[in-house]
Amino acid sequence: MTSDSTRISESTRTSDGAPAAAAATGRAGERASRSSTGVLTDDLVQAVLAVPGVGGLEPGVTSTLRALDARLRRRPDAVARYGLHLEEAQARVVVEVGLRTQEPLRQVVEDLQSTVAEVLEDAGHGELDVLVRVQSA
Amino acid sequence: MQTPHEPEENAQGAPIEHELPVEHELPVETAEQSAAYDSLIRSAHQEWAALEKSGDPSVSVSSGALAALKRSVRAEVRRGAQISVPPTRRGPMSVSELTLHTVLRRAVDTVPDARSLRARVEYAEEGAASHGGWSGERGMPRAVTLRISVQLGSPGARDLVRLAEDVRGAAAAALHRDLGIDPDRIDVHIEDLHDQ
Repeated sequence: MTSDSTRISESTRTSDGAPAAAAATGRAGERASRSSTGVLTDDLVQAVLAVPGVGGLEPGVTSTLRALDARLRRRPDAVARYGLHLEEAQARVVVEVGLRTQEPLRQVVEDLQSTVAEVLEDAGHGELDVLVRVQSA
Repeated sequence: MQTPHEPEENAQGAPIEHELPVEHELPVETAEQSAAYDSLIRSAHQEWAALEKSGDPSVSVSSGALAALKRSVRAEVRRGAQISVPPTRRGPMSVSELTLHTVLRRAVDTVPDARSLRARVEYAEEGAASHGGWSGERGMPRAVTLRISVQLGSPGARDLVRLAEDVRGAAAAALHRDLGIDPDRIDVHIEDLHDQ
């Protein structure tokens, strides 16, 4: 990331001739952020599936369309997988799951929310809510 | 791309003379450049159409993606709308109608001599607006009607009032434990009798 920023800073100049360090850092930062978002999404999926009582991700139509849209637009960085997506306007991550458990469903959902919140917090997205939609049990 | 500070050139590389100097804040695009761009887009359309007609996978959604979409649509119909339930201590949650009915069916079936047949749920009028605009979202369940069958000749069949109370209690406990909801009313309707 550092070398990327440096390269862009050296090769890019604004219209008044000044080095576009700020703009370049912004673009490089954006790329880095997108890249880390892709990793974050994979981590989230793994974390969700590891929670005891979670049978699997069960996408609704909305998250399926979002995942397909991200693939068609070649945006692997987007937080959009089958059954897990980010709703930016509501500042929340939506997780759609099927539960297979004898435990109270609310307890499993709470465990799931805690797990996802930890992953988000570690990635610097602690401000996001975690909405769990139980599709089947 | 031409900029206002660079002299425009014709196809032979000679500067193009303008009668009056004009200053632009945005880069100028010549008629030739516009025509070239239009031609490029036209050919891209033609190429896309040809590839699509020949079934080239690079311009069509994969069969796997289409299958995933079809499955999710069917699953959504099977699961029904999402229902509002109180949030947990860690965040909001909702459940599908299918999940709600599964919880009710399991609860009824735990009562000896009773078997769940159907359940009808009335929901509080709560719009999708309170849930970020998700269409099809229902409000909190406020009344439940359970239709059950009772085993013939069983102890439960000899005291139907008590059996109904047991069913009501089991359903109320399950709804509270699993979903955090306490409906105003849980009616039990004994609709049938069954052997074994």
